[in-house]
Parts: sequence; C-alpha cells; structure tokens
Amino acid sequence: MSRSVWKGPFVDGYLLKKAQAVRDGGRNEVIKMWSRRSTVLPQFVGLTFGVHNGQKHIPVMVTENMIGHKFGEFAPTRTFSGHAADKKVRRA
Amino acid sequence: MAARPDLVCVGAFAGAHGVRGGVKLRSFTEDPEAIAAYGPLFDESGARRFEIRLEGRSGGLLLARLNGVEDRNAAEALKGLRLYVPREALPPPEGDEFYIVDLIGLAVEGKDGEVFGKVLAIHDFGAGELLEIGTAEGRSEMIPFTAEAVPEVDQAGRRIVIDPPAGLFDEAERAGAEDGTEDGAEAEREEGEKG
Repeated sequence: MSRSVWKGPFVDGYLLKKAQAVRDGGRNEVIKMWSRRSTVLPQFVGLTFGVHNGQKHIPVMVTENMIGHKFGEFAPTRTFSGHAADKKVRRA
Repeated sequence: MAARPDLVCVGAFAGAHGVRGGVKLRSFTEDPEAIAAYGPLFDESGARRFEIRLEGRSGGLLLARLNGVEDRNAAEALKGLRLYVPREALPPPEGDEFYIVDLIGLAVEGKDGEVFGKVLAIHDFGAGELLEIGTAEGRSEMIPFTAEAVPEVDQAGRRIVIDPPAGLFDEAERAGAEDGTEDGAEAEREEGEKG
C-alpha cells in the first residue's frame, strides 16, 4: 500500500536543514547523511549527498529524475561490479 | 594461470548444447552477441584459439558452434573455460568515453601529486558513474566520474588525477572510522530529535 498523499513525502528534518545550509553557503560540498529513508525532494536537485551504505558514503549527485525516490536506492548495501569486458563509461 | 594483461575477458563456456558439438556461452559484453564481433577468442594464456559461430539464444545464454568441436564430450570439456580477446581488438572509444578495462588499475593521484591508491572498479547505482578507489591504507572510497572530480585521465601514464569535492574524503572522520569512534548515524539521530 502506498503512502497517503496528505502526509506528503517523508524527509528527516535535519536533512532539510543541512541541505539549506549548503545551498545558502553556495558551497559545492558533499552532504554526509545516514538517512537512507528520506525522499529526494525538488530542492535537493544539484546538491551532492554522501549516502551511507553501511560501510562508506556513496556520492549521489541529485538530478530531476531522482525526485520521489529514496536516497537509499542510490547507495546499495551490496555491490557486484561484474565483468568489464567491452563496457564503456562516459565522463560526465 | 593468471590472464595476460593484454587480454580482456568477454565470456565463458557454460556447457554443451546437443550431441553434435554445440556449446552454450555466457557473454559479458554490453551487447551479448558482440562476443563474436571481435574476431577469434582465446583462453586466458592465449595459447588456445576458438573461432565461434553464433546460432541462437537459450535463456540468458548464447548457442554457438566451434571449429574442431564435433561431439558433446568435447563441448562438455570446455565448460567453465573463460574466453578472451586481445585489447587491441576493441574499437577505439569515442570522445570522452573510456573502456572500463582501461581505467581499472590506474594509479590515482591528487592535484598536488599526493598518491591516493588505484582504481578498483567502476559502478553505476543510478546516480552516475562512480570510480571505486582502493587506498594505500586498504580502504575503498567512491568518487563521481565527472570532469570536475576527475579532471585528468592519463591512460598513457597509467594514472588519473582527482579533485574530490569538499567533504567527500573527510580526514577527521576517516581517523574516527579507523579508531572506531565515528558514529554519524547516532549523531544524526540526536540532531533529528532536537530539531
């Protein structure tokens, strides 16, 4: 069952404060966080969060398509990189 | 036997198919059928050479035939063998693209020449490509693979230069994590209760 709309998205309150502080400061710094349950809000777009995966902080640069998802979705707790073979990456 | 560094693993034999020497292949390439596009395949020593002809798919595996493999026993004997192509058989990447195999193992340096470690893996968890760096102290760290965070990739010099965003590699926190005193989750919880 999905969450009732009248409640709004869940975000830990201190995360909003941290994000606001970084935004106000105009700094490009990683916001370290452990709140994997918090929802990505539109005001987070453009910020970089370090989402804890149980071992370390995974840098997550928030884009528009991530709005509505939970932060934990972008920092898996178990990783498997597979075989590189002919796979390529593009530097953003 | 360790694989030769100039060979790239692109697949493995997964078993026999039928009684006439057909084999099942597990492909590791981006497009599974591209395994047959890079010319002959080799074993990890480079001594055995395989010419493969793809014949179809079965589940997540490819069905193929090999020259010189005419019966099921010969096909079964290949099960588990990994297949490699020479690195030079891969087409050159375009623009700001890099083969993951070319990035893994590169030395990682800071802008001031400080050595961080080397590239262990590349991940994409849905928020962009990340380089996993194995540090000299035995930890692993992640850094976004962006032009700001990784301003220089010097493949000829086997090194990359990184400029981590502020707060990503926090020296004080790192020291805390090493002596077991870091508990950021606890601190956040307390902060949340206050706010």
